[in-house]
Amino acid sequence: MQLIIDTSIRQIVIKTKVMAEDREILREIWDGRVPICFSLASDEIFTLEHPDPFFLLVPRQSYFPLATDRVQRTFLKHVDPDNHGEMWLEYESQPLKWHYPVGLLFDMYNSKGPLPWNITVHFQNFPEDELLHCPSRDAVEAHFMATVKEADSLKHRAQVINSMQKKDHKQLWTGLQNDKFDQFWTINRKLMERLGEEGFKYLPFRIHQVLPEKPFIQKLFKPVSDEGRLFTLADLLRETVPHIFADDTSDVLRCEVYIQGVNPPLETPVQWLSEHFSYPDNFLHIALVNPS
Amino acid sequence: MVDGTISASVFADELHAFVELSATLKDTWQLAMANDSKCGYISKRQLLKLDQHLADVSSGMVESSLEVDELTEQEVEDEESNTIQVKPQTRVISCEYHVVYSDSYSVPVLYFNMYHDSGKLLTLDEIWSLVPQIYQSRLSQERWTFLTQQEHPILGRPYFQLHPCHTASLMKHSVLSRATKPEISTDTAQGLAGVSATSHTPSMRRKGSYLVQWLSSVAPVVRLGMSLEYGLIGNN
Repeated sequence: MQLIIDTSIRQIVIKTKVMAEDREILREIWDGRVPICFSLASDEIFTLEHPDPFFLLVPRQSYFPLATDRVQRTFLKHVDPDNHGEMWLEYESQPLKWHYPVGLLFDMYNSKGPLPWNITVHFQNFPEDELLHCPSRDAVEAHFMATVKEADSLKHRAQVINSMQKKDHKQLWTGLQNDKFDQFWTINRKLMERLGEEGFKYLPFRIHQVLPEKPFIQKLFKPVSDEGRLFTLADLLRETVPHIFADDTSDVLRCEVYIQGVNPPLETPVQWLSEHFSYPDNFLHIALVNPS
Repeated sequence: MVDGTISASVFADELHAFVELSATLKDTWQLAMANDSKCGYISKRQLLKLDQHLADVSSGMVESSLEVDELTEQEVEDEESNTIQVKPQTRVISCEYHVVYSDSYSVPVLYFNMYHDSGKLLTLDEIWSLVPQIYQSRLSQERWTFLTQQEHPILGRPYFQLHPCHTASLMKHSVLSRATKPEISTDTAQGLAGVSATSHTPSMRRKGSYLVQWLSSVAPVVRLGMSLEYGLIGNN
């Protein structure tokens, strides 16, 4: 009897410790920044004086339109006032999707590249067959909230998000927009709660493949088996992108797997990854990057 | 089905039935298969003639001017953009509609794009100006949760999307689902015999009728032409 109590107390102690450390992980991820050097596309410079590049540390969890107001104002002074349109960003001929978190774009296109990340700013020839238009911050908020809703639809049949009040939704958004960890996580904690003991109904994840660029992969995937076994990152990848495995038996991959800037061990349970490595939009964004 | 959702396999069946129905009615819905395991989607192209929409927009403005008190500043601006939008040089708008299944919401989702004859996409504001006034006023509070540009889940390109998070509740409260309730109690079933035209149980329900019902309720918002005959044939 004593032994059992000891064990369970020890488990509680371990669990508490793990939870405290896990909270530090959330904080570390939230604090991630990408050093970026923005330059105006040289063929769009209209003034005699060439603008200096613009350096910023951009939060990985944020979106470019929330971070580039000053970049836009600065460069707008140097473009043809009669021939410019919506601003868009490009890295090595690759238009950057503003509706993806900055950290995900970095993992996809520059995880092995030099720092700072050199991004070109354009005000002409908006590639509207590739990029969503971003008429205002409302568009970013709408996109963010729609993604959070979709994630909760997968995790909890949307019960958590639908039971929240409008002000809670607003707090999620302003927390992200103003880079306020506590403000954001006070609400997000509820979205990350499990239904019962096991885990989420389905895992909100998207797999982004670079070179060749393809639409992201998103499927229904239960993070926990009916028998209560935790599925791992390897299980998820084998189910959704089996072609990246070198063979059927080993876990040797043909590409690198990035989530939140790191290569997590393949034996990591996806339920844990979802709770700790998801972006604020509540999706686990996995970037598959070819070895250089 | 009772909760307004459908499974991916039911959706696939619905698609096939709907395309057959479309062919019978000389409509032009086409089935497109996705490369991997996704269940495919249907698409339709359609031309919108501006003089027709010009008439509609102006009639909508007459309607709303009667309720001028309820117009917000935003709506007034939108109305102004309506008038600016209706330029004589824009004659025909070509539209492309897709019905795609959402695994996350277990419902069909409408994606669409509209192009000027220059090939340029209509902007979100221009799309809103084409939404009939009656829906505009109803949706004014929910603009950003109702219609946004999104990445097409199969093509990966920008398309406008009618947001799927309300679809299940719409379908739950639809006539069709109400009529399927008798399956729970035979007494009520007899009581509802008067609506037998639609009172099929889910299994007996004519294939394609979920799509007919859903699509016909959202089609007018985005100017998608849909013959009334869909309803007649789908429910026989």
